[in-house]
Amino acid sequence: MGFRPYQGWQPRIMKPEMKFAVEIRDRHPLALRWFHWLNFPLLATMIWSGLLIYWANDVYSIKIAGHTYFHFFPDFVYNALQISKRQGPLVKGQGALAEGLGWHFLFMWAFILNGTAYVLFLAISGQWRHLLPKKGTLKEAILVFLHDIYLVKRAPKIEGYNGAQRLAYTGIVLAGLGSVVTGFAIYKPARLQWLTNLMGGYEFARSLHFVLMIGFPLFFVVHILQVVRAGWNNFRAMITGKELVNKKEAS
Amino acid sequence: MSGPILDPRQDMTRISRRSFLWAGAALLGAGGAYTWLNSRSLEGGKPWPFRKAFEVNERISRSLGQGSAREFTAKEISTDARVNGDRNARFRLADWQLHLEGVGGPRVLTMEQIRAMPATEIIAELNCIEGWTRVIKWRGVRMTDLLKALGIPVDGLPEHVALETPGGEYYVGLDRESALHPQSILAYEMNGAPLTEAHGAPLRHILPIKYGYKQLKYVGLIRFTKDRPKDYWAERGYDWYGGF
Repeated sequence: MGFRPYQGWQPRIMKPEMKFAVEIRDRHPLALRWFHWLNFPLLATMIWSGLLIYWANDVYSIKIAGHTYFHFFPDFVYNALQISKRQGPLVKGQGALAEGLGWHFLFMWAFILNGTAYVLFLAISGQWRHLLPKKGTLKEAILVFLHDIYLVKRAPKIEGYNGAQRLAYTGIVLAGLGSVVTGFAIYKPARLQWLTNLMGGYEFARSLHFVLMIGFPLFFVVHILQVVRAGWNNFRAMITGKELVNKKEAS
Repeated sequence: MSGPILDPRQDMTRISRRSFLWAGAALLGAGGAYTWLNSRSLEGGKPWPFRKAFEVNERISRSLGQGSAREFTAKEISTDARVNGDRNARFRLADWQLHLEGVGGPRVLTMEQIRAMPATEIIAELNCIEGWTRVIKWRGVRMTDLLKALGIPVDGLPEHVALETPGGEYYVGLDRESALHPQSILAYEMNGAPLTEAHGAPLRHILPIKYGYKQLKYVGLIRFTKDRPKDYWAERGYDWYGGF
């Protein structure tokens, strides 16, 4: 595909002697970009509505030898999210729990559909090759991590996604799948009793569901840091699908 | 090479502008969708799309057959049976009777008559919609055994069942299929002792294939009925079905 001159601006003429010219290269297919960005509000809705449900009986905490180190969640979290204001006098005729259940059991379908489409597209298009871990991924991930936290100056030379990214992007898909499976185990413990039993029973499946949920914001923070570190050209590629790369031969 | 070479940077700017406009439109669309969802007219205390989703989910569930709840061993019984909610049913225990309607003429039963019926024991998990669970041993009479003892044929009964406290303060609507489930039990004993007032004495409905809010304490009336009966919590934004 050639570049059509755009009406309204004067094309800049490049001098033939420019050694490091840039060119536009395809990076992310359109479908993947849509699945990726759609997942954000869908997952955010699932987490938010899940919190509204969890808040009705917020019993999880990190306890070691009888001492509670962290309670999910401290009051300041609920206050910041104004969740408590949703209870008591019914909001729009329903309390926080009912509101959360409504969103959760509607958006789960959209979340599942979008996630399935994403995975199917990866499988069929061959794009999975960029994302799945391969030989040497773990070592590479460690090197990338050391570089990211400024302990190692030289960035490992890597084509495409590095080991840390491969692990993160594969892991997050598995976490999504795990959330769906544990979700169904606690949604239909009678009809899907075999699944609930497989997940260690209702209570255990529910705690797994919660732990996986905690994983998403953690991934999100790391993901954002990585994106910031990777720079604008990389981020823009997730929106436009294209990136500018250096062209090494003289034009 | 003939003709000028365009600077790809400028072309990238053009592509970016178009893509970011799309992104902005998608953002507005998402915001609009959320606002739209939240501002729909209420059905049972819920914007109707969410109510519809509950109903569609119910249809999907019921198309999968019925299933049954897991049963537990005596060792797994919880030691801290939890009382949830206040007793808002006002009636005198001495005056209590169980009324049956919609079964070909009204019937009235006393606790003695119910105790005389074939009893069933079940150790099952009580799953509260709030998220907590307790494993409890119940003893009582199966809904189907009660009907059988009264000589009421199950086949001709209407599609739904309404259960109410004696004064009608609290009411639950069930589908017939769930109400007649083998694990649907009218219990008068809990963990080997007579049911206490806080736990729904003299008679409470145990239905482990549904959430706790679909299992009525202080049952005073059981009515078989054609139309979907009203349901206390379904009027307050919860799923009418509430089944596993």
